[in-house]
Amino acid sequence: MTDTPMDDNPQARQRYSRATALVDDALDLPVAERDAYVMAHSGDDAALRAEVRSLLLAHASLGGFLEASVLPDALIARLQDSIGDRYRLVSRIASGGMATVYRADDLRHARPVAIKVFALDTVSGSGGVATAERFLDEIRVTARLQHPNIMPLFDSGAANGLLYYVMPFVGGESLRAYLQRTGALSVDQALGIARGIANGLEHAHASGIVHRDLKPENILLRDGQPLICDFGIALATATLDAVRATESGTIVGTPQYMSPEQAVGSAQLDARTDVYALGAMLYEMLVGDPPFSASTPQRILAKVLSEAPTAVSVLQPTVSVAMSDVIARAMQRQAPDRYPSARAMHDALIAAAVAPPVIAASTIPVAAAISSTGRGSSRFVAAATVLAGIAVVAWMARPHEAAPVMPAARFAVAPIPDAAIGRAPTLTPDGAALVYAGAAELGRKVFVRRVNELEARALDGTHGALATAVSPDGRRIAFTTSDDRLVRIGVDGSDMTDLGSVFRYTNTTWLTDSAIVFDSPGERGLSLVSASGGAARVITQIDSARHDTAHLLPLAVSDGRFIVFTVLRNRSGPSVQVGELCVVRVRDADRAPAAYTALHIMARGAFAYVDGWLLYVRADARALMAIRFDPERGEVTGEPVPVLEQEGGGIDKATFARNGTLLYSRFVLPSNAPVIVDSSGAATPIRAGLSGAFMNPRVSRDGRRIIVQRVTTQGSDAWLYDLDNGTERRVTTVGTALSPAWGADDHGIVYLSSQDGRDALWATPVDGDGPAHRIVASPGAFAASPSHDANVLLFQRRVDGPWSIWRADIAAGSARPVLQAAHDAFMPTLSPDGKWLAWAASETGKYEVYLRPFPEPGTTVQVSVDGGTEPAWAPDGHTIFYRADRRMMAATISATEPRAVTRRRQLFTDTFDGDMPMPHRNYDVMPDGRRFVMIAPTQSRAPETIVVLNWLAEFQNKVAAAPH
Amino acid sequence: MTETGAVTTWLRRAAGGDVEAFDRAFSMVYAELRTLARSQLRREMVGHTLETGALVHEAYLRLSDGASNDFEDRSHFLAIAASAMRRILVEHARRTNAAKRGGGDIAVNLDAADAVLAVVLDDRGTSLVDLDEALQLLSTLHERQAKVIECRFFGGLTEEETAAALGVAPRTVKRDWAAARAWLYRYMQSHTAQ
Repeated sequence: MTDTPMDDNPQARQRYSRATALVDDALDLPVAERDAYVMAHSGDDAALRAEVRSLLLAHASLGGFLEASVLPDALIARLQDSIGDRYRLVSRIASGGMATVYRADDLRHARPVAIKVFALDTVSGSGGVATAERFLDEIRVTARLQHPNIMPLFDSGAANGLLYYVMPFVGGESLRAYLQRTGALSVDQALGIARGIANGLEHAHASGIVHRDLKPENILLRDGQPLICDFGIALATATLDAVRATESGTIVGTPQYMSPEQAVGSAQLDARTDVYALGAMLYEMLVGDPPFSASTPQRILAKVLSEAPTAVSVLQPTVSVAMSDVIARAMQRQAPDRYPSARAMHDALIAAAVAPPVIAASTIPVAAAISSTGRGSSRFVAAATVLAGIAVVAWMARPHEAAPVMPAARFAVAPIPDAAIGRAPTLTPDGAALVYAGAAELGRKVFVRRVNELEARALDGTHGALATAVSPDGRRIAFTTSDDRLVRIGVDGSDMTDLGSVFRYTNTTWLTDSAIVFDSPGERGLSLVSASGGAARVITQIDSARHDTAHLLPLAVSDGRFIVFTVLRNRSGPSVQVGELCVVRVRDADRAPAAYTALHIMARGAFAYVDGWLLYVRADARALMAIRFDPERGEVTGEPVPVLEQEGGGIDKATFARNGTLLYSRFVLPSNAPVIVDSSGAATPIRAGLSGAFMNPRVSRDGRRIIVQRVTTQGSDAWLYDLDNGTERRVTTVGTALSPAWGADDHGIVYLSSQDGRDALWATPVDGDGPAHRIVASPGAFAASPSHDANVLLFQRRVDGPWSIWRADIAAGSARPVLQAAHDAFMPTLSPDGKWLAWAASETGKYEVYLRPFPEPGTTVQVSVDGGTEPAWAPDGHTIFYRADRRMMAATISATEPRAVTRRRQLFTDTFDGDMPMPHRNYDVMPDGRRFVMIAPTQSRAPETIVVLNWLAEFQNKVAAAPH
Repeated sequence: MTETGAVTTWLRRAAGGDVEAFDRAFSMVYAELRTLARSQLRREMVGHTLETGALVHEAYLRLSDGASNDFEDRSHFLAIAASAMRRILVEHARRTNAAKRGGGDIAVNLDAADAVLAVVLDDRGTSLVDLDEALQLLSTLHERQAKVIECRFFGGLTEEETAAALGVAPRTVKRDWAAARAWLYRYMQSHTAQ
């Protein structure tokens, strides 16, 4: 290569000097004469000639390359001077032509902004003030435009010979950059962008504002949603350009996207000029090249004025003729032949998108004739027929490739035996892979699985993973673990970092690529932690004045400027999982928790932000909904639109990927039933046909009634089943009642509830109608076990760290710890005489059942060996039952002091539901001491994971059909 | 500055082709520019105008301590300052890139001086490193062209200042500037595509 010489190569230096000298001379000549000059002066040295031509070509494309010094230049100082009290410059984003764009902080509103600056004195030497006034007048007109697809204008001004205007700083890239990166787009993608632009244009046109300079450089893509920039700026800068244009004789504007009437300098430009440009841009998005290209702007304009572009469907077989025709009409040379408005073009695009591709074949000759009027029609017709034929075949043969609006395809992800999908699987942002915590040989691990493959890869070192979240750039995964850690790891399994302690059932989401937001079911609201570690800071706090009980399911919106989340309230809805969607603005500068704003929507949780729409799971879990969300104001507008309805079961978590793939888990409430199990392990339902979501059964002392926690769409409550007459009755109606247990007698129960906003133990009679009353409040309390004398309750509780065992003294209304250690201690149960306490603890690193005197602590006896949890006393007080790895066990305790285990035996193989996910005893002992009430699974409870490919178009059609 | 004023001596010797003198002058200018960048930030923080455009010139005033108002000394200084700025900026860009690759939070890794320099880098971080490499190559082909780029792009010098610093006519600077930009542009296009 000529430009990679070795060090100290005199020959290369000499050749380069000769080439440079020729370049210097040629640059002094008019463009047209340069080539002849190079020919004449390079002799027969073809290599030199090629080098000079190549350098001249490079020189012609230089633009502003290196022109502005990398050093903070005079412009920055002047600009900072002019705007210092309001904005602080951060960095230069881009410079080119006559403008430079800086990133800055808006000091007054604490938001990042972009400032576009024009140096007035470099444009015109005189008449500056008048020019500035005209410029600012034009700018101000556009400041009135408010639309999700139009870049808003915050501010503008003139000072120190500078003109500037201020817009929000938006992450993302221009359509130009995107096209350069990816080439032609899929039909879905191009259509989505074009429709967004059309919506924005329609809004502006309705206000009488025409853009005049639409081009891919002026379209910013954010979350796949187009933002039209520089609205009306074309007219404003035209006032500046007037001077330059006349001086240099060059053509101002962007010829590839310029309508013919604009090219000839017509002053009568209306909406149809923008329609033309939108057509040209859609053309380029689909084809990968602009409709006209030529070596000079003049030649491009000549083509704009005299030719029709080759039909898109001819060049791009995946594009239907119907779609191609829409573009051809938008780009008609005569404005009256085009769509009269952006709305009309928008609607035509939708109509073309839903037209079946097969029909296209019969319309090809007409379409091609229309789009190639004037030149070589018959040739195009022939080519179009052949190519379109191929397109139809290709469409049928490659159903997953970009085809004219692919119908959405739904399927359930096939389960993999050793990598079963666990809680809340998520999609990588590109939609290519599932990330989830799945069952592995030794507990759960993080798995990464390609959507269309039957293999999943476990990430090493991720044991105990519970729930996952993928960063926006798709490179990293955050997950929570069963030992209450928040951990970050690369998607490729690299770079695992512990980010600190969280509650294990926390939901996490990435605010940005470098920050993670997590919720806490307790009293702390949402917190944020850097992906590189460090202390977490609180973003929202439970607002007790608003009766908040939890802030859950955070979703980052608009590049992390907002978090939408679900606020659970005591009286908030029909189910514990339903709350109100709220939004909080995230500011880097905030150190204190911010106030949040209610969006007045009841839902389970928001899961995506697409094309200006916030997507959430409806309160009844039967549908996904969309509502417009203004990414600047953080407000919702309009009415919610159902975008996906799920028959049978409900929708749990959902994720949406940029490639249009939707993933959600379809849950069937765990279906099981309380049963009576005899000592051989045979089970009999307590009531024929009963099936639901039951846990924590407790039998009354007389053995005739069972109180059990049952979860329905109304939430979790205590239900009473009468074994004699087969009746059932809901005892509590709070929706948050957990782990009910019989009180001191068979007439009342105790349970845990956060019904007044605080975790507390409650008591209520089951016969008669006395009111429920709170016994004692204790955050994190769970699974209570009453004592024999009605004055003492034992319960387990967990806030941070391990579980501990507490006692509540009912008369005093107070609670104090009984067993509090560095390991878990839970499932306390008192012997029938109240003198012995049995519990399960992880002291040895494994859960075992222990025994000791109560209330005064004495010698501790280990009851189980080789594992054991869920201890329960037999009524005789000499046997402790417990569960160990699918075995129901009985340990006989010596009747005399010192107490010791004299015998352990297996009763039966245990196929009944155990203590997950929250540790509690999920069975009880019948008064005869030989039978048990247990919970038998009646059907698989594994949620299904549903993938919907190409859901974006379906979604867009749904929201487009909704009233505006 | 303990060696206040000495810089002009080193500069003169450097101008005479003394490599060691150049290194001494360079390291002094380099240190001074970094110090200035920090103080610029402090001033900016208490509400004064960010006058970073004057960075190089101010460094000269401080280093020369009024010992010499000689235009040539000043021009030599500016050329050296341009080299120093190039090194500071490229080092910064490399560090920023490394931080980006490492996935770390860039903002936390920047000290005060870096924060000021970040004003001009940002998106150009990657291309600055590439540009530096291209410039090294260009200097083996045409050293003066590479110097012109250094003075104008990295040093922020005008055409006249560059001409004085390099001891050539402004017309030569103009021609070198055009040819070097074309060469660099072509090089960057073919070596950093995608």
